[in-house]
Amino acid sequence: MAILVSSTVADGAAVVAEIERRSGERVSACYQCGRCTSTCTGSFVFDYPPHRIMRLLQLGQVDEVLNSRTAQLCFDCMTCSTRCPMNIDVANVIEHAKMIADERGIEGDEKDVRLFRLAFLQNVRRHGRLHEARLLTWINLRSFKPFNDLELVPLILRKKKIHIVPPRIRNRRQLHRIFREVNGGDKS
Amino acid sequence: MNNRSRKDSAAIKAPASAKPGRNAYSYFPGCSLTGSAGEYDASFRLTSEALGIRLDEISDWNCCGASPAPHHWSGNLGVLLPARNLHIASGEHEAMVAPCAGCYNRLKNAQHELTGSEELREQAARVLQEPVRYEIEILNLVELFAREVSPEALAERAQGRLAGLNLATYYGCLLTRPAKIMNFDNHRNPVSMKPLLRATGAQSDHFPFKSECCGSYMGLAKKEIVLRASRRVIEVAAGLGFDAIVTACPLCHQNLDLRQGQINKAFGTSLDMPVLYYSQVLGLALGLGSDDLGIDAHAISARKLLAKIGKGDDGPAAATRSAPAATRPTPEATRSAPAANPASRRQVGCG
Amino acid sequence: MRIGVFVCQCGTNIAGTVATDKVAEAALAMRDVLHAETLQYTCSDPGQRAIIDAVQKKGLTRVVIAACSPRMHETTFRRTIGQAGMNAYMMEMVNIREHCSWIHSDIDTATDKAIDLVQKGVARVRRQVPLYSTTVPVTRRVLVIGGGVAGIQAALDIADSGLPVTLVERGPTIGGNMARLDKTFPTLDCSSCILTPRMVEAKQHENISLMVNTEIELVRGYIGNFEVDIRKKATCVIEDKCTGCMICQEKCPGKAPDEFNAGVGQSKAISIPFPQAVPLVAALRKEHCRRFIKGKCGVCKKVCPADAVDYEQEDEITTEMFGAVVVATGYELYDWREAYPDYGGGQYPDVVTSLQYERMLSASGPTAGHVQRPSDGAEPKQVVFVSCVGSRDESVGRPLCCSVGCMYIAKQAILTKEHIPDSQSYVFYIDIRATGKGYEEFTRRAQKEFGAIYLRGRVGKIYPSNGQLVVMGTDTLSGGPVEIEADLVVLATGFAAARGAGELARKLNISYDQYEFLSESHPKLRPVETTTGGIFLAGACQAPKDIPDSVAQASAAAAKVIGLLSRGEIETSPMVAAVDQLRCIGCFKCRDVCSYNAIEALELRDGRQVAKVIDSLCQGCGVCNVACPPSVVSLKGYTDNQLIAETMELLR
Repeated sequence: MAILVSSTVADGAAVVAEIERRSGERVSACYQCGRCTSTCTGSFVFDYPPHRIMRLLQLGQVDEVLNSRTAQLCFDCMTCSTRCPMNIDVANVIEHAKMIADERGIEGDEKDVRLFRLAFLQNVRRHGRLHEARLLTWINLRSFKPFNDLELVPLILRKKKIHIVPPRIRNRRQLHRIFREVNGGDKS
Repeated sequence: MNNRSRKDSAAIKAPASAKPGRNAYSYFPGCSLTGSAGEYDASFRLTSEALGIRLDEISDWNCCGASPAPHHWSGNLGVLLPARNLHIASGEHEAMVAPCAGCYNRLKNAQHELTGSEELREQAARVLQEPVRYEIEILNLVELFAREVSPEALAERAQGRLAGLNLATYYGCLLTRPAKIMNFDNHRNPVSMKPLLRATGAQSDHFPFKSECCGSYMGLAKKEIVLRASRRVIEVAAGLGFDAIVTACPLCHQNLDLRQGQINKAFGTSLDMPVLYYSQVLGLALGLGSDDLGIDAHAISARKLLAKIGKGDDGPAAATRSAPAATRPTPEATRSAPAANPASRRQVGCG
Repeated sequence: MRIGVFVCQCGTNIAGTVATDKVAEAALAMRDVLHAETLQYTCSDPGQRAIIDAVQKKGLTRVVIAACSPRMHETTFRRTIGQAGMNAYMMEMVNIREHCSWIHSDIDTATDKAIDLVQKGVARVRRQVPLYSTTVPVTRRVLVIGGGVAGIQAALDIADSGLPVTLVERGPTIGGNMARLDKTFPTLDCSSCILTPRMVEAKQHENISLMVNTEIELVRGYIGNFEVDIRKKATCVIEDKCTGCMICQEKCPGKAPDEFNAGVGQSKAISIPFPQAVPLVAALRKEHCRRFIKGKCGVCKKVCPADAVDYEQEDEITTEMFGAVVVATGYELYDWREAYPDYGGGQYPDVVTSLQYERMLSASGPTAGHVQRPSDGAEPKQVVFVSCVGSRDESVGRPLCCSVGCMYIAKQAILTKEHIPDSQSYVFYIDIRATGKGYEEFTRRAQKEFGAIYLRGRVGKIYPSNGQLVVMGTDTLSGGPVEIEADLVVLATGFAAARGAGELARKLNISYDQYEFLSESHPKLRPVETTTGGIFLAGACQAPKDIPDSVAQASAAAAKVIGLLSRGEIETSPMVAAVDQLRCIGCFKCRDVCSYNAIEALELRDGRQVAKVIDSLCQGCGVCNVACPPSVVSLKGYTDNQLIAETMELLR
């Protein structure tokens, strides 16, 4: 099926412009050399490797980008950005696509990643610092994978890497203010 | 062993040349170092003490915000959380150190964003109920040690203790990227760990995967990413004959060390590569005990490595041990390949 | 005084933004202006005829032409009024295009400005006096700097016309980079086979004086008369005696890097670069010689059957005059190692540059044409070629395209298959640039006939594993990352200017760009001239290019040189400085500031020393005019009175 480029470019222009404005990058600078993809750490689980994300944006196919697994899974290792011969911060472009997808409520299929983010956020909100033990158990239970990483538990216990007692910061008022200031920061 | 030991170790005294008070930094440990990466914290404190660096933990610090949640869903969370820490630290010292690469990265990013946005500064001011102070100098572990001890001074104290080891320096992603904001070392070819590592007597050959990603925080979310990425890093290191991987990031350490068993299981490999923290390596070079440095807290045993440098895995080495000062020649001097055809000797360079 | 003003419309270039009829109208109202008209294209035949008509019919004595930049048509219009019978310099060209219509968009403002500019021009031309250019004799000898294919071609063409040529080469042999190639695209001609006849001809030509191991020390003078200090470096070998037997090289105990072979293999401290070198004379490199480093040795002198070794030999500097200079200093391969640590930065022996690979392919090379892995001497089966290393890469400060990479990779892929029939070549490319004659077909052959697999994408990382090299790249055509376990990797590194190009350019007073490629005078219309008259460019020193283009450019430069020197004299501009000797106080501040050594002292009959301008050297910069305390030096065509009149007009 041919892509009606004359249509996609026009339709997608607004979102592409938004991504460009917020990230400070220019998608037209990319000449599709693919070096970003060559060492991309996560490309084997992405649907679109970094260079194809750039291409989709160049052709205005923003829906494919916002709904992509790449946008959900990319963890910002910035290897692509480091390699780009045109000095484009590709990871930054993908991150802003991710943010726009979030703002639009596009959830996607990668439930575990979403869960992880949620768990982390809640955890920090509650304690002010990350309580690892709680994070692990919470995620395992909520993802219905209670035995995930179970083999690591004896090791962790033996090496005393786990703390049952949660950390707490004293100035909880400032912590609350932080979360209040951030609109939409409270997704729990 | 007690990860959180902060007691002075009687055997280690700061050298007379260190000026207390001058070499004092605000210390931001972060959630990992006060959690599962306790040995990083312990080794950092111990080694700093041995070098005469004073660390003052930032009072009532909070999570730095370097996690997937804050800066993706609610952009400003990733600035406000670290802003609070910057503000507290700015009131205590002129420079701060964050050994966790994730914290270091987030703090520097936040500082960059605060500098560029009045709106963010105003938000931070509302949280803190006063104008935010955020211009404190932020250092990572590698920078701190490079600043506080010269390779010559370290070599003198190390007495070639780590001679015989070939250590792969592993920087990961967050120390140097994004280059414009981190402004630290060369993002395509980081070399900042090398001078001090070489001063310990160890060799540190070029490690081609030194700034490739270990899989980051995906361990709990999509484990196969970590397993695959970390596997390659370890395999390449093993293939090139390194004795250990040296890292300055607790997440990298966790992925490479704690999950090495999972990697072996998933791929049928038999990797056995010890992963040490930079502070642990420098501590060993200074004669500190491997247990005190928390090396026994690692999943992959460093026994073979320690044996190579004549240390058992308990107790500090004899401080009077004098190892041969000569080290293996540096790669630049001996780049000739083995058993090469004389007619096609290694090139010196083109044109 | 009868002034005529001609306002050009230049189609819509000017008329689109400037109301030219209003300008003509306003001009007519100016004092002394008798005639004013608009012309659609003043530079065209009808336009010029209109000027001649007006001059002749109305007896105009001065002309103002408001049009494009004088750099475009000043010469044209001077000729026009000359044809009309006037002195060619009694005109002023006012720029209302580049300085007005092209940079403004509001018609009213632009028109007002154009009128002001014309007013200024009229004020100046009122005070113009007739000027007469002179001729100066030229030296009918030519200097060619650089003995690569471009330098050789230029030297041969110029020498064939009868002019004596001095061909100077800083290395021990001519032939340049072309002599290091195995085969050339797209014909797969043996490079040496087609080049060496030219090299020999250059040496034997009666009009060519060949100087190798020679560099340019200092350049003075001007077009038609350059005074050049040439340094012939000491090589400890007496050129006339050396027979090229190479026994010294055989017996020399001192190892040295083999520059000709791009570092593949090693050479000796005293050596001849390759068996077909021209001249076939050994040269000793003191920095690698045991005798000069440690004070011990003397083997070469002992074994030389022609007694041609002389350790006491010193550099020789001679000064010669030339009428024109052709710069053909060529290129070197960009040194990729620091910018590409991901490819090993030079630490992996089996990652080689294209030139190193070329030397391996060459039958007269260090491996006798056997392609071998430098690490273990084994024959590679999986060979990977990486395009654009140091090209098209802004992140390392090299956004340019090297022009020849796509072609020479295809060539090397073909040759690899010929040398090793069971090998497989992979080419990582981004685009294929094959624009010359037969080039596209050639690159297709590499894939169709010789089985090279072309993958579209850049390589991100190369690392060693189990004796091989893992190449991590991308194939955008199939959509994702690819990896290859390679035995040998060849990097298509880009072109850099020859070492020291910038320094030479400064000696010659010509411009160069950020890569130290030498600048041509105009990118479209003057590809072989430089901003300094009498100095021409040929070959890759100007920009990366292939052999046919280098040869063509060399012949073009030769044609320019021959044209320049053909009449034995050249015309000089009359817009030079002049000293009012009656009022000169002899302080010689003008001489102090003159960059062209164009002012000398003159003793008058009463014994007074005054300044005198040497017309042929003066370039008309006007600095002496400014420096003179009593203001007795003036610049013809730009006198103080003229400039003040212009300024007063604007202030009104």
